[in-house]
Amino acid sequence: MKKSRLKRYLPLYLMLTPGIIYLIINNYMPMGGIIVAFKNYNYQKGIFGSAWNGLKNFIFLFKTNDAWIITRNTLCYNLVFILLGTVGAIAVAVLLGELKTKRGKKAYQTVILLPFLVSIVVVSYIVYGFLSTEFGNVNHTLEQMGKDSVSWYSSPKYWPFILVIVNLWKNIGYNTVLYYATLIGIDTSYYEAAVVDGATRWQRIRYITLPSLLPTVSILTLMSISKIFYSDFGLFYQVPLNSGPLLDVTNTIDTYVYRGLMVTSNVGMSAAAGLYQSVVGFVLVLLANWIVGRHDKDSTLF
Amino acid sequence: MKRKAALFMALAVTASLFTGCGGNAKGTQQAASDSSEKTTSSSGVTASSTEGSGSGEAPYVCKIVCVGDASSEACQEVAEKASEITMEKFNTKIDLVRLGYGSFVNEVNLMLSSGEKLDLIPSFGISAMTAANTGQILELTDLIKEYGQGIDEVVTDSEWACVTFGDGIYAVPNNKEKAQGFGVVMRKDMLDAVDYDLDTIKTEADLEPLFEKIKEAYPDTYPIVSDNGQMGYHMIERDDIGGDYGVIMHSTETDKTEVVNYFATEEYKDMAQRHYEWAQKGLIMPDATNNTQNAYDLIAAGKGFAYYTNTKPGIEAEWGRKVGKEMQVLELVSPFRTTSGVANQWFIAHQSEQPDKAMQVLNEIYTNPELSDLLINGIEGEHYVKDAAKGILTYPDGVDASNTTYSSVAWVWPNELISTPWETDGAAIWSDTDAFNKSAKESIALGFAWDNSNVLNEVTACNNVKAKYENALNCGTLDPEVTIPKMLSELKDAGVEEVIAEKQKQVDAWMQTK
Repeated sequence: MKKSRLKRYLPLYLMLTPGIIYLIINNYMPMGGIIVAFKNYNYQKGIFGSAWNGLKNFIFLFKTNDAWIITRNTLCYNLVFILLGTVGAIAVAVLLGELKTKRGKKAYQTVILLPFLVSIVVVSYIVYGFLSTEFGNVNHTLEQMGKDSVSWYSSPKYWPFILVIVNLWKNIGYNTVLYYATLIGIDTSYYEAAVVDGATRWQRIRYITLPSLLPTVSILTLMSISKIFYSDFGLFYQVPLNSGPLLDVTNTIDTYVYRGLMVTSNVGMSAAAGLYQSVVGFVLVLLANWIVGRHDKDSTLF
Repeated sequence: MKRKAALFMALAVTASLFTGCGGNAKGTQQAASDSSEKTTSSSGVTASSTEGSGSGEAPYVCKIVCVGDASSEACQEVAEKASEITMEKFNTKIDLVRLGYGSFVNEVNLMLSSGEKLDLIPSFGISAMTAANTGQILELTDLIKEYGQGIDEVVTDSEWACVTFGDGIYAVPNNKEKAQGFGVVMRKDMLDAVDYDLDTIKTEADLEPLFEKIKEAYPDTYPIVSDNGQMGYHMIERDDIGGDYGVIMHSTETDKTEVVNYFATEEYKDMAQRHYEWAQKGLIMPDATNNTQNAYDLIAAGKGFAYYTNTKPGIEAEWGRKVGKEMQVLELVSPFRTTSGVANQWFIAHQSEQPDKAMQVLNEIYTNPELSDLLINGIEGEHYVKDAAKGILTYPDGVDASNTTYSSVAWVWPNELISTPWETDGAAIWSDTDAFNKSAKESIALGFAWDNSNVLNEVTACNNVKAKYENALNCGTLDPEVTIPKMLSELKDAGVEEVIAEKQKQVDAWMQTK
């Protein structure tokens, strides 16, 4: 019995092997590098030759409240991104679905997707075009309205909103396409039946469209949660133009590690921060999966 | 039958993927072992050199990465010419790359981490002490004895002491001006147009009326600009005794070696306050901390009038060449010598396969005027023409500072004093430099080399605080009344006091042996 099963699935296992090998080489073997986090790294002695350092590399992270700030920033921004991103993308997808002209649909879809394809460095200069203290659009408008101009790149209080808006503008198109694809797959006979029964447009969206989108929402959200401890480096480093006064609200784990390695060239400490990121991220994924599993076993990732 | 065919297909697909992956795997392993352990690569080299020893060794390629603007074609041309000299003497070719000022540190750090081919690098923005402690650069004591006699003749013992960490020498100090003053560099044409009496300016604060006048006369020009988001030169005489945190203020006049936190001094606060007020008045460019352009580009484009600078013989001409317009320098802090005066050095990267050859090349650059001229100034006829009678260089027709493909930045190279001076500097520039070095006042802590390995965690944590505030304070973006206390308390949390105490301890111990 068991043998015949193995025989039956052998082609599938064989097809799986390249993927597994790839994962082992690319994702598992470099994991050995984690030990750098516990070493006093010396370039000449290499990873294995360097002297052990205990937990000393982690001290700098927790010495100041940097660890707390970068963790908070990474988590909170990503939560808001997931929440607003999902709601926004679904809203746009539903609106797209209601459009009647084919031409209009195509045009809107392209326009919405376009920002997703723009490099983040270009985006950072578009944002600068808006927010530059002297020549920015926003300050220009403020002055026209008789208000004082704002020095955006040194006023941290505005940046949570700016970053959320930029992220939404840039990424909403991609999710919209995913939801829209599900949406056009819904059987039109449901809608026809609903119209015969006298359902209003809102009722059709509420009782047919949204429930049909739910499985897609759940998978996409779980996938984003699995990456919740990794921030969009470009968004947090390039868009604020690496401005020092904004660091309290723009520093995430990734930018912190980058700055640590680039400015102080201390590999051990950067590895320590990376390990911290991985461990907390891992715990969060397990937690999210467990919560989802309590509601609906089929929607979990594993 | 059908199932067999499917199985066969699956096998075929898997096998083909396998081979692709196999190749990859080897590549990654190779790369990993290359960067982690030098043994593989160096053993590879010895193997190839023994192979070639019968019919003359295969030439070694010495890769030099230096700072400054130059096209890659020009670098290649220069490297080919330089290789002619080094091939003959050491059977070594030169490979030259020059990186822009803004990206040099990041790119070189990446090269050092990845183990990419690299032999000689200047210290521009890289701390010799950190690099020595983390093993990024090689110890040179024995190499200098064996292959660097030419260098040893020029560098004095007290200068060697400045680059000695632990028991070994890790860097070769450049032969250049070894003291520095501070001042402000200004566009001469604009200065003449407003006709201001410079004799009235004795301190930084005195600049304000001049800047006001400039702003009035040139509304589209910012009186003072930042350089890549920084304003690094402060008009305050201090010895930062090896960097990180803790300085000795007024180090040439004091007989005390009290190490203090620079950001907590009255002098720093005054400066930050002044810059803040200037930024409010529009005398400093807006968004100065976010500026990603060089100060000289802004000044050349007429967007800026002035920037702060170090001062030394020929500094006006150096700025003039970079900006492409006549510049005037006004010195506000007279020259003094500190350990940082030998802060321009050259290193041999840890991944150099044949450090002996690298040292031979470095020694040759240090002692051979022909080679130094080539590396500093480029190709004759293309990047410069030589007036042999006067012993000076000028630009060829149609070439100037703004369009040359190989910019001349003499001071980053090991020994500018043996190169041919530019017409704008005057033929006497190098003898002036020598006199300048001799006349400068000395800091009480000259020769002290700081070792931060005991307080590395504190230094790193402090650096993250500094990254947040320093540029913004220097450029006048943030109100120092609020920001400095915040910065100081965060620095304190990060352990700046331990760093300063450690430095005080080392300075005191060093004073005992002096």
